Amino acid sequence: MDRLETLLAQTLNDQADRAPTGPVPLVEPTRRTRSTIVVAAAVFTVITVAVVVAAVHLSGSTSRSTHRSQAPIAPNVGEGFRLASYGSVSLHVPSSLATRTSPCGSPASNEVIAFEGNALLCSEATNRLASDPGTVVWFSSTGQATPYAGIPTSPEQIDGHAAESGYATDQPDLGTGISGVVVLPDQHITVGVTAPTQDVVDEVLSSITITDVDPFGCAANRHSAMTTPPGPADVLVPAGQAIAIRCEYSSQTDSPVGNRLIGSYRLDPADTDRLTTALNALIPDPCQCVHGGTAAPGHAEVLYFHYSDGSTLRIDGAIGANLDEYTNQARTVANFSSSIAQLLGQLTNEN
Amino acid sequence: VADQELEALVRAHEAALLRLAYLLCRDSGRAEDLVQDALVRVLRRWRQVGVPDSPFGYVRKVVITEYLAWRRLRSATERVGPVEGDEVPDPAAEVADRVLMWRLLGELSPRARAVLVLRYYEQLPDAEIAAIVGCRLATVRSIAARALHGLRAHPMLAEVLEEA
Repeated sequence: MDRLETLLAQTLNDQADRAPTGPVPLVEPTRRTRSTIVVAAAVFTVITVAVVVAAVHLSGSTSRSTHRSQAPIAPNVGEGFRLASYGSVSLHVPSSLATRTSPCGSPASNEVIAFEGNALLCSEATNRLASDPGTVVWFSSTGQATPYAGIPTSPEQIDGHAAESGYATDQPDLGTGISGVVVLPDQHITVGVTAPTQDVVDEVLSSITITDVDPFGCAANRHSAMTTPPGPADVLVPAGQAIAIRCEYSSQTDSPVGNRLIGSYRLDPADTDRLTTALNALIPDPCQCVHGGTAAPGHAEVLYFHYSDGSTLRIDGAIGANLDEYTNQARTVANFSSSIAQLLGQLTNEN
Repeated sequence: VADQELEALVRAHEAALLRLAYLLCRDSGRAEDLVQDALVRVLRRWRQVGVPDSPFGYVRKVVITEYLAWRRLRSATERVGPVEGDEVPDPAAEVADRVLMWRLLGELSPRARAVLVLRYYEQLPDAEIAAIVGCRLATVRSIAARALHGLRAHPMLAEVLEEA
């Protein structure tokens, strides 16, 4: 214990001597005002719900043909942090960290690694952190080789799910800094964090939640993503003030981790305009090779456009090796370069 | 059986429960209310499902959860008055430091205060605190680290620590 902790312990011991000595009667207390407060809270809740319901009905009076938005798109994340999701796990990561979806090729450093690839394509030697990694948040499927495998863990519970967690400071593959790991066996997910200070590691790991739909409205798996009615046939993304949500999904199809969420982002209105312009500039695709199944997609995107009138439009993107396709279910457009994928990466990593 | 078990437990541990409650509530009357509330709740529960393996641990957990629930319910209406014991600083510097620390503890969130009391007064390991407070181990560590950081950064306390 340092001086502060010693002073704290002494203070608590001193003050405990001032505690009342009882006896405490073992009967139902009568002096509390809790019931009044509970009733007031209940009345407040009823009024709040009524106001919200009324507001929803009123806003629906100018409905588009598209789906009503249900997704909260402003998650409560502390300053300097942003939301990151991987499958059913959502957590907060330092907002300065960009995301990449494979650790192959170079050691991780100051980034979020959402490892959705095939472990066999990356030798274990590349799954290392740089000697001075800064801050790294590492998602992968449980069982894949990660630099966090050597950290001793102990059992705990997260949102009712069995988990294993542990910390280390001097593991050989983790570079300098403090590292922590949380393994969620029933979710098939491992989360590792390395940072210069314990505070950041704790902030990231303690923010873990397990959810079917993350705070941006991205489903943990593409097959359960929220659907909307088809968009217009004459334009992919209609004009209008909107906020775009990008849900990026793995191309892995193996159960139980197939097509799981590997990235979740919100674009601001200016970036949404840039993306809308780029998507609407693409030509109609008579081939529909990717969505038609003739070209294996590299990964899948689900883009939600939440308009200011409360309506939502879903765009599905299939990123192929030589061809990308985007569809609003009434209009499908093609992109023969990687320009949209690059733009999405650029816009979302700026957030 | 539940009534007898609880009466025996109260006889043996009433003082400890009141001390814990006082460190959380910082007020004698509220501490008694809190313990009474907790014991009544425990009694109802034990009459339904029987006495658990670790009766004192169970009662302590109920005291903490009642306190945290209480604070949430009352936060809108509760007026925080002067805190017992911090209005008359002792001339001795060391006592004055503890008075300052007690005052600063009162400014922490209920959850942070509960974590520090369980860690530095009850001397429980973080894993047990996590089970009592109902959060994850990492959360306990995070709450404690932030609370200590906040205390350490307080200008008056920083001065005290520097002098030491």
